[in-house]
Amino acid sequence: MKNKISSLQLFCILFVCRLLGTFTYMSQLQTPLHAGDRIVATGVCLIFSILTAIPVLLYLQQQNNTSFLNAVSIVSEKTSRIIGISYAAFFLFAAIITITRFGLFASTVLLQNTGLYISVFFLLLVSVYCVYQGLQPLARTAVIFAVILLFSLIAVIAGTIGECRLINIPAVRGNEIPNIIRQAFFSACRNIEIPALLFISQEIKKKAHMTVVKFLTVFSIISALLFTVAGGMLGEYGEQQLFPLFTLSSVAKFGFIERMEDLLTGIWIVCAMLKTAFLLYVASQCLRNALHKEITIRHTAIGGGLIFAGYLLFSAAIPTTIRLLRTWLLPAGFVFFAVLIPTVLYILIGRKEEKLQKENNT
Amino acid sequence: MKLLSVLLCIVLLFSGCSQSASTELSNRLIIEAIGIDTDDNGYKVSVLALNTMQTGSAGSTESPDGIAKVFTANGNSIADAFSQLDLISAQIPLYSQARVLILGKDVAENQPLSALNFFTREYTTRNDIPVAAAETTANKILTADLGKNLLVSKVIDTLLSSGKRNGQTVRVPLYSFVSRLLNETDAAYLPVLKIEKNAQKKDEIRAAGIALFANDNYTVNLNAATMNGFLYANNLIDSALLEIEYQNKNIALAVRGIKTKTKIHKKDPCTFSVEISFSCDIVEKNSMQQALDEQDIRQIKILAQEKIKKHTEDFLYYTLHDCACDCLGFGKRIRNKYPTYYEQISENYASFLKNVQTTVITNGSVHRPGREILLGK
Repeated sequence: MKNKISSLQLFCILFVCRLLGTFTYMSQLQTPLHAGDRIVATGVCLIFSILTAIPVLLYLQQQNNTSFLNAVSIVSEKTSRIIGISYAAFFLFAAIITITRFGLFASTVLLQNTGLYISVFFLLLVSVYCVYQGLQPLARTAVIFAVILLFSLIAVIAGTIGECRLINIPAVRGNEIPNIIRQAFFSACRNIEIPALLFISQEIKKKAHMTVVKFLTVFSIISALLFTVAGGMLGEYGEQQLFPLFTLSSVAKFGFIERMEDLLTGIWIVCAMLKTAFLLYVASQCLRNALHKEITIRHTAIGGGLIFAGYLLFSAAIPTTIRLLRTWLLPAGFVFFAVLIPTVLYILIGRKEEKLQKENNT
Repeated sequence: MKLLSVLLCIVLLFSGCSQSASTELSNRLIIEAIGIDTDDNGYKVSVLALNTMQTGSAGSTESPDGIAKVFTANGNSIADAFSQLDLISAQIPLYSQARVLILGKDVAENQPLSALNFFTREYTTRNDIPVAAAETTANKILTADLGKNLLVSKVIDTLLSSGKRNGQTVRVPLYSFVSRLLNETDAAYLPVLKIEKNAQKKDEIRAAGIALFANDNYTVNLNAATMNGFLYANNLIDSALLEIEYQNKNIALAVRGIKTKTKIHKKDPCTFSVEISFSCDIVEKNSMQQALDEQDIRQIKILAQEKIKKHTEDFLYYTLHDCACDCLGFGKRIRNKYPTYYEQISENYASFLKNVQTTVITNGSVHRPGREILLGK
C-alpha cells in the first residue's frame, strides 16, 4: 500500500505524458484542418477516447489488486505469457515512436545545433534510472511537472488571449467532417497510456476508472482551449506551421517573460523523459508478470538500449517515419492492443471465473 | 563506484563549457534589424548587428558610435544572402535578437509573401518580429545616421510601439502580416518608414503612413487623414489626440479607452456596423477668457463623435470603394455567418466590396473636462 500511487499522481502521470503529445502535434501528419475543424476534432476525440477506453475502464472498475496478466493466467498460463511479451513489445515500440516524435520536434524547433543523439541517449539513461526507482518516484516527479506544466499553459494562454480574434477561426464546413473524424480518431489512438494502466492497476490505491475519465475530459478541454487560442491568434499562419502550439508559445508574452518557448524547453524534455520512463516501466511490468522473473536494472537498460536503437533507425529516415505515422498502422495497433485484446480477454476471464465458481459450488 | 558516477556526471555535464563545444559571444553576429531589398540577381539583405568584435571586418560600414555595424549581402534567395553574410562578417548570425524586419519598397510592392517564406520557415527567427516597409530601400533605413548612442533598431522598435499611444503608426508582427496575406479576403497592412534630415543635418526615422496589401500585392498607402480612421476601426489605438473647432476656438482632446466592435447585420446587400466607443479629456482650449459649462461639454462630445465618425467613414469609403481592400475582416465575418453566401462572393470579392454598406456609430463621453472651473447653469 505504501508504494502505491494515488489517483492524483496517476492523473498527473497521464496529464504530463499526453500533453507532450499535444505540443508535438504535427498538423501535416493528417489532412490539414482549419482551426475551427481542429477544435471540433478535439471534442470528437474525447468521444473516441472514452469509447476506446471502455474495456480498460471496465477492468479498472472491477480490479481487485491483481495484475491483468495474473487474471489472464486463469484462462491459460501460455496466453498470459504471450500477451505479456506482446504488450511489452508494443509499449517499447510506443516509447520509440514517442522519442522519435520528440526528436523530430526538438531537432526542428528546440535544439537545432545540438547533437540530438547524445541528448536522447542521456534522456534514456535518466529514464532507465527512473524505472529502476519504481513507479512512486516517477509519479512524484510527474506531480511536480504537471503543476509546472499547468502554470506554463496558463501563462501561454494568458499571454496570447488578448490578441486572440475569434473571427480568425473559420466555421466548420460539412465537407470537412470525414477529415475531422479521421483526425479525432488518430488523436484518440495516441492515448497509449490508457491500455498501460491494465498492467499497473494493482499499484494504484483506488479504482482508477473515474480518474481516467476525468483526465480525458480535462485534457480535451485544455487541448480545445489551446487550439482555440492558437487559431484565433495565428490565423492562417498557424495552419502553415509544422508545430502550431509551439508557435503559439513562441509568440506568448506573459509580463516581462517574452521567450516562453525557451522556458518551456526544459519542461518538455522532462515530459519526454517521464513518458519514456513510464512506458519502459509498464513494459518491464509486462515482462515481470509474464515471465515471473524479477526485472533488474540490467534488463531495463537493455529496454532503454532497444528504444535508442529504434530511435536511431527511425530518425535516420525521417520522411519514411512521417509516412509511417500517417498510415493506419499505429491506430490499428492501438485498437488491437487497447480495445480488441482487452475486450476478448475480459470476456474470457469472466467466463473462466464463472466456470470456476460453478465448479467450486458443485 | 559512487565516486566514479559523480565524476562521470561532472565530466559529462560540464564538458559543454569547453572551447570546442561553445560559441564565444564575439563569434556571434547579434542581429538587431534585418532589411530586405531586391537587386538584379535576387535579394539584397542588410543586417544591423551589434559590434561584438573589437576590430571591424571587410565589407562592414561602421556607424559613428561603433555600437553597431551594417553588413550587406546579395543572393538568389534570402537564405543564400544570409549564407553570404556569414562569410562577410566571419560570425555566426543570431536572428532571434532581431527587433525589426524592414521590407524595401521593391520587395513590399512585389509579392512580399515569397520574401517572407524564409522567416516563416526558419525556427531561429522570431514569429513575432515587427515588420515594416521602407518608403525607399530598407538599406537606407538601416544605415541612417541618427547620431551617437542611438541604435536604428531601437529607435524603430520604440517608434512602432508608440503607435498605440499617438496614432501615427502601427506595430505589425510577422505572424499577423503573413496570416492576413494568406487569407483570401483580408487586406494586410504594414507601417511605412522614411528618413528625413533634421535641423542638425542628422537623419531621423519617421512614420510615413500605412501600406495596404490585397492578395499579396501592394495596393495603396494610407495618408494621415485616412490612417486615423483605419486605426480607430481596427482597434489599433489606445489613446490619441483629437483637435476640434468649437465656437471658433481650437480644443484639444485626449481620446482614451477606444474600443471598436464590427458586426455583420445582413447579407445581400451586405451591411456592417462599426461601433466605436471612447472617452476623452479636454486637455487644452486656446482661450482662458470663458470657462466651459455643461452645454459646452455636451457640444464638445458631439463634435468629437462626429469627427471620429467622419475619419472612419472616409477610411471605409476609400478602402472599400476606391481600393477594394477589406481591412476589417468583413470577409471572415461573412465566411463564419453565411458560409454558402461566402462561397458565392469570394470569387469576385473586389467587386463585392464596392457594394458593401457600412454604418459607423460613435459613442463618446467627456470624462475629465480638465482642471479649469466648470460653470453650472
